[in-house]
Amino acid sequence: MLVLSRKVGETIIIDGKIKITVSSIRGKQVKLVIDAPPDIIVHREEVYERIVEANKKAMCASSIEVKKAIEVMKDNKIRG
Amino acid sequence: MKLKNRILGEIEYSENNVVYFPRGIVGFENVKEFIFIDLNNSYPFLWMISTQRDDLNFIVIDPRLIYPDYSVYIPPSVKRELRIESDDQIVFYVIVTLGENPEDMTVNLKAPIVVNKNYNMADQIIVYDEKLSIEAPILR
Repeated sequence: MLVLSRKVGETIIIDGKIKITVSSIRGKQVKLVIDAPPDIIVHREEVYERIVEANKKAMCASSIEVKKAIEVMKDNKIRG
Repeated sequence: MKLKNRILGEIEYSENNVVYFPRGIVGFENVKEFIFIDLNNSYPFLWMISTQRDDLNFIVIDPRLIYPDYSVYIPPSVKRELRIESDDQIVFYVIVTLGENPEDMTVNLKAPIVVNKNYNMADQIIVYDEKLSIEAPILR
């Protein structure tokens, strides 16, 4: 892992195309400006991890579970 | 065409069931291809089953059946990637978590699956809207 020190206003460049600039530091919070090509997807890690967990929890549905769910939907008249 | 799924067994599908995910889905970035299929009258649900991994299948639903006002912003980069030229090409699905008690099932409104139905291309996007829940109840 690479560790770099940067001051406010300074930038790092990744792979010649992704620029991350330290915009401001206030207390414990650092504001970063990320300038990347549109095909680069940037996420806050904790949000990304929550979606990964949600996907893992939702995978492997079984036919029996779905059958029950359909019945419940019918009972509640959610039929689009 | 046929695929084998560990839980569902052998599934027959056709070319137009196949949806290509250039970026995969969140946490499964290497899984690029799923089929969207109605098995045994699963409406209003739809199965989303990987053609590449036999342990990866989901249940999805049109979010507007549950939350009629549901709408999210699709970044231009995603539109470009999925070759979306007009909004009428877009279909949304959200992943359903069934859980032990069917009454408690939820949908992930924060990370919908955006499909370009004209080209059968899709992406799971993460929406930065605090109001959208990862575990929104289906029954209210």
